[in-house]
Amino acid sequence: MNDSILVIGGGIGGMTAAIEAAECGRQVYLVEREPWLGGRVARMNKYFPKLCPPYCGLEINFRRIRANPNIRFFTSSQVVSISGKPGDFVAVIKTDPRYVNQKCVACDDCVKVCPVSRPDRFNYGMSQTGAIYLPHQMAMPARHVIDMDVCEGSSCGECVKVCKYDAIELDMEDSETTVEAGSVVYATGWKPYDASKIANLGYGKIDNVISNVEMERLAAVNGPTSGGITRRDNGEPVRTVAFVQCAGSRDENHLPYCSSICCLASLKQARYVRDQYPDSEVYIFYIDLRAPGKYESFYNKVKADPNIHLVKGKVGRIDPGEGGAAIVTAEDILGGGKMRVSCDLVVLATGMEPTAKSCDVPMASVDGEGFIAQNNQSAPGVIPAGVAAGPFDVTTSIQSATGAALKAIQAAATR
Amino acid sequence: MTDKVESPDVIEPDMAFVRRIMENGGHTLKKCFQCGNCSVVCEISPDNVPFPRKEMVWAQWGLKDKLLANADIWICHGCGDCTAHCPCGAKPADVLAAVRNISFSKYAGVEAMGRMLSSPSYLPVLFLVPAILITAMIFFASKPGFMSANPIVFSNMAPVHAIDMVFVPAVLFAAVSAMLGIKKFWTAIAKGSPGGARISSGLGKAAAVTALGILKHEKLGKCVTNAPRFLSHLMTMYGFLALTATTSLVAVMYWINKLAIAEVATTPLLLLHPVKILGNLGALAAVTGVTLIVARRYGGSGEKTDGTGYYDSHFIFILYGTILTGILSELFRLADVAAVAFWTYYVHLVLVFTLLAYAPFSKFAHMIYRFVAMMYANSVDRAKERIDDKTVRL
Repeated sequence: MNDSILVIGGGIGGMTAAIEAAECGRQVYLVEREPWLGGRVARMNKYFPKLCPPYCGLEINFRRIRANPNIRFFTSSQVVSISGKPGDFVAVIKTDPRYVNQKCVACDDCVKVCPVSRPDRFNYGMSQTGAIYLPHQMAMPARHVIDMDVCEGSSCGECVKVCKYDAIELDMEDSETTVEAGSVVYATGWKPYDASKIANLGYGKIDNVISNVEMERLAAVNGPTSGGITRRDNGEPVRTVAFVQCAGSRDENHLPYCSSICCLASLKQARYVRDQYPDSEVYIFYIDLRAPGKYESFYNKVKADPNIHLVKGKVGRIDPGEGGAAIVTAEDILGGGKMRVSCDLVVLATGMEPTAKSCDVPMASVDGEGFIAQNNQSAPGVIPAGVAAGPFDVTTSIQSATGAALKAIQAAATR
Repeated sequence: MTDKVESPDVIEPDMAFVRRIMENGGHTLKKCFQCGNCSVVCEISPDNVPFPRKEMVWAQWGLKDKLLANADIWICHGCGDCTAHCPCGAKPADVLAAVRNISFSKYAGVEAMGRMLSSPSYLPVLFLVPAILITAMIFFASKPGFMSANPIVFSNMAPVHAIDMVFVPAVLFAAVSAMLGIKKFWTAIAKGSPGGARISSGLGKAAAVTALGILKHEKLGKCVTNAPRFLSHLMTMYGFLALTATTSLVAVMYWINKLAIAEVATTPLLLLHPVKILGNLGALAAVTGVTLIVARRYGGSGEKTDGTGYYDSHFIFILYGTILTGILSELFRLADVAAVAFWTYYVHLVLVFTLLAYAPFSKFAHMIYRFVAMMYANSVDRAKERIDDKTVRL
């Protein structure tokens, strides 16, 4: 009988579940695949509807984690197996080498001498980093990491030479940790739906067609353009921007469900554009605009801007236009007739695909879409949190994670 | 929008019509959530008054008169691009095909015939009529002992003048019915098609443009999802035209001889006679085309874009049967197996009658209605069309 809790996934949901349970006195193991905590939220520019930066809340959570001896977190790590039963789970955690030890102070001297470059996954490949890099400015833990897939290793060793703190160990090896837990929280989150699968929307073929997660990075001060929302082909300012709703969501050929956040994300991103460019024109093409509950007032605020045009009609095609423009075509159902808009930038409001759809989730009960269901019969003691359970916004994910923490405590205590 | 209070628009849904669409292959229509994706992915949908999104809402609301008096139902070639991209499985291509099927009986020049072609329960009667007529024709007109005469000559069983006595009235019946149907249809679409654009160019020119477009298969050529349909339909159509030309030429040649205008070859023609070559090439093209169609529609390739209803199957199999029995008649004749050859030829005659006499009421009539609708669309200035109809704007 063990009342510890294993939380898989170190995004906002996993961190919340871990902190809530730890603050109730439980031992928590928090496992994150990336070399940093914060997940998708760390890559957001602003939250809707208040348009405040997510880093505010993330910092508070990082502080709660650091302050709490009950939380042991593993980055660059994955749970490779879980055995046992509720109250007596045994999990094996595999940790990839970071090649940088705890002496690192994130001074960045190593990066300046690194001869290699690689696409920065944090910025969805829109910028480059060295083989050794700090995951992002506010990374937790604030330590560099080496991507051994591209690093030239000891044959180069430039970073080792310049590191004043002896922090780099090119021969570091992976390690395994076995932990015991009474219950498991899956907070494996989501990934953006691969927009290149929607062939008629030109993503990957037309430079100025991007996805909404990329738009978050473009607008972020710590992003690839230092916050400048610019054309992807030539870096020029944008004037006309279109948002394409349900790019892959509510579509039986792609994701059959409503991802629930994309409407508000686009309304929010429309504000990014309008705040940066007073002369800009923004079009949002939708099937239905969904702003549930109190988000209605945010929707009304955005709608009141005469330069933001809400057009009912799903975009059926995006074609390359003159001078790198992207031409968006939809049937303007309320206005009548087909509508073509030549845009500097087109943002596909791609939906959320659960991570559990494409990775192993031992002991969990997964539904047809890849979301993890809470099932006391087939998967007792295994509780989903956040977007692992369904397509939620951040607030709902946090509520879901808090509830999951209580369920996990119960499950570990009552077996 | 004006501020003054307008009189409310009263929509009177015809639920029986909705059910009829669903029974005729459009059972998915209620899944449509009106996103308009279909109107955009369609390569031939016009800009100002696009389809098929408006047809989908009319179908859901049971607005029968609007749907049936709408040329766009026929501008659609059922290529299925809309269905392939439809996010909710509403299959607009199938729904429009179902509405076209209903149109066959709605515009039938002879209403009773329209009803008889709409359901398989009348099939025995439809076959019995030509079977009796042709049996009677053989009984009265065949040469005695035609079965044992050598070589096999089909006109010994069915002399050309006797065939003409059965088939000329049948074709006339079809032609008159078709004219009546066209008149009804033209009146309806000229009055009822949305957009309100007036006919702006000469009908002769519009007809020529339409005919040229059909010969080139311009519209089917734009189809992406169902691209193979271009070739199968092209081969079927040209094969059929060649066979029709062959039959007509043979009749003409017969009367040239009969009336002693000149002396030309008589049937059976030698295999190298130009008319025979035309006929055999036509048969080859047609049988290949229809075989491709049958393979795609019934071959279980899992095509999500090909809804096949009774009208489709009826037409495809009558046509396939006609072509196959025609080819087999020739082969059995050449193989000198008299009984089989004559019986096959008998079946062939029955099927030809079925194909031609009932053409205006079966899917064969897609040729007529689509031509008229395309001619209408080519004669109006679609760029001036505007939707004033509130039912299409939701």
